[in-house]
Amino acid sequence: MAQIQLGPIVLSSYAFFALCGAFACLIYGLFCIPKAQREQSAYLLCYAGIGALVGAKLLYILVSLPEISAHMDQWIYYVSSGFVFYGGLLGAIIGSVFYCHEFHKDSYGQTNVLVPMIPLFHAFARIGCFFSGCCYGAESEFLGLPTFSVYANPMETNRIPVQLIEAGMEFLLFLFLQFYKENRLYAYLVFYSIGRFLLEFWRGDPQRGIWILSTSQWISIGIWFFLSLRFIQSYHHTK
Amino acid sequence: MNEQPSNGKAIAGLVLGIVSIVLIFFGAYGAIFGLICGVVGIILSIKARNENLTGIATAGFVCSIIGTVLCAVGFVACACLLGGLASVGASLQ
Repeated sequence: MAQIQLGPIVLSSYAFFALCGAFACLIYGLFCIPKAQREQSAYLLCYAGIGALVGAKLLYILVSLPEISAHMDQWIYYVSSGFVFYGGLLGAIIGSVFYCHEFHKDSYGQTNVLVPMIPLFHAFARIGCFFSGCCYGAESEFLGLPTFSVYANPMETNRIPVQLIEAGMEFLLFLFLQFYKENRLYAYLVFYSIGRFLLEFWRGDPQRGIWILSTSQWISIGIWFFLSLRFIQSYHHTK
Repeated sequence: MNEQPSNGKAIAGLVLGIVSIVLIFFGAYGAIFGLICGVVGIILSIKARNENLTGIATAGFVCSIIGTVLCAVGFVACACLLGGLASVGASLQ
């Protein structure tokens, strides 16, 4: 079901679930962000959201450049229909850091409480992916669910519901971050990158990476490498 | 005086916010420009609110957010469609 009709308004499924995710984040913010911090958090989220939009779109354009350049007459279609989560995550982090630097705010104090919004929003977005038929899984009679996707070939078959599996993983990460309150961003990156690396093996999209791994898998390895360096650096610093 | 630059930003944010809402009704191309206007409006309104909290800055902030969200919703079809478009071509043959 790629579109949802709400009275006179027709929304793409992805847009509908993204709005649900944004609403869930708003509810979370009202309950969990201290009252004194809410205004600045709203501004920081705007900068992070803009960074996420730009980052996700830029990374998509970068990895799809050969395809886009071969169909320049349809550039508006290609530019409007694609984002990469990791690009959005990096863009959101850059946007947040830029905001804290420009307005002289403590970046850890401002952002740590907001990190659980990432898995919460992403979980709803992945459900939207499932209903839209994008980011689909590999064909499987044993592990698959009946799915229909205009982006896949064949369109109608049993596929592994990687979108729903990832949504479940993100909800679990969100719950975990309610109990783990220190350095939430690092904790999220550690677990999400492992999960994403493994789930990519079950994706059914055409080859979209370099050599034997997908772009997201290479980025997951890069994240782990970066976090390991930071851990070693902080270990030596405290020693 | 610091009030004049922030008033200018607040007014610019409000104008861009209204423009982004209007551009929703002009199709995909309108939504792209509306998105850009909304984003710039948000940034200007936040700067204005941080310098000097006024009604115009608040109105610009709200209008810019509404315009940006509506343009994004109207513009975005699906996320993370890497390689999906090639599949469309293959499946339609």
